[in-house]
Amino acid sequence: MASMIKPGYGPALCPFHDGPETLDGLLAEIDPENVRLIDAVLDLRFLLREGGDLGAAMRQVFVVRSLLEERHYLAFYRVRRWLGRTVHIEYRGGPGEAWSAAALPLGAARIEEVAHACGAALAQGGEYPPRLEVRFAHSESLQATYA
Amino acid sequence: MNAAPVSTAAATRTDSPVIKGLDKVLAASYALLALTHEAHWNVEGPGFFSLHKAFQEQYEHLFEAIDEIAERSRALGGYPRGSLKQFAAAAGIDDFSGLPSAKDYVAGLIVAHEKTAAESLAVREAAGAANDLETQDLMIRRLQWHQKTLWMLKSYLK
Repeated sequence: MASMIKPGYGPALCPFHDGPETLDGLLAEIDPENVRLIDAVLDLRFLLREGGDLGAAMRQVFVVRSLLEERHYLAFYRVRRWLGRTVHIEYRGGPGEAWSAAALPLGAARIEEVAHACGAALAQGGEYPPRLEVRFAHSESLQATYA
Repeated sequence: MNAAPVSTAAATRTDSPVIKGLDKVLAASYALLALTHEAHWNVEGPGFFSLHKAFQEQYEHLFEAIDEIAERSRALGGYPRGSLKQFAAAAGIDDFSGLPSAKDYVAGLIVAHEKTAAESLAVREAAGAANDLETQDLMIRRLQWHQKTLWMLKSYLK
């Protein structure tokens, strides 16, 4: 995916706290001496601004979440909400099968949790798909709504 | 004797900034009420009793405020729309995603209060420009309540 994640600005949305500026808000709250956390958020900001590998960006989201634990809860919630509007998950049981789409689970703590939820949705009580594929994608229809 | 300015003269058209702004405040307030009610029903966890009670106080307050906002619009010549579909389209406030944690309910309500307060602030300014002090007073009271509630909700997250 070559395009960066676009901010979901639009007259219907809250004028505050949307788009990459949510990451700036989070950075502003973090103790400058917490270099590890600052670096992790800056890496996430770079990945989202530059585009290219949305999967890497989403993995970094969960790295940041793990480092934050329960701190800066509201600031990171604004980041999660923005991503929830602009990114969704696609998954399938294996090559050649049709992709299914689902909303990005804002409450997930680890990226493996996201993948396992997709596998469970496909299994529906039966066999867990052995060749499960999961990817992240831009929610273009949502972006068009807010453009 | 010079006639005193009629405070609502500039706001007695249905397309005036004040009336259009009141429509937005009404929609945002109704969406916030619905979200707060949902949070009241579904919140779980260690903070259940305090959050359940606080959310009830908040949606009850909002219900009365919504009536006052709509009736102010009518007093100015407006015809506020009241369907859930229209409120949802005009509010610009996201629904909760799935079944949130208690903290995500609080964080989601904070964002909804901020949006509603922003709409109220815009009407406060428009009413001031129109010398409509009564609407301005109503919006000041709405802002005071949203700001107080935001303080309380943000304190819970710290």
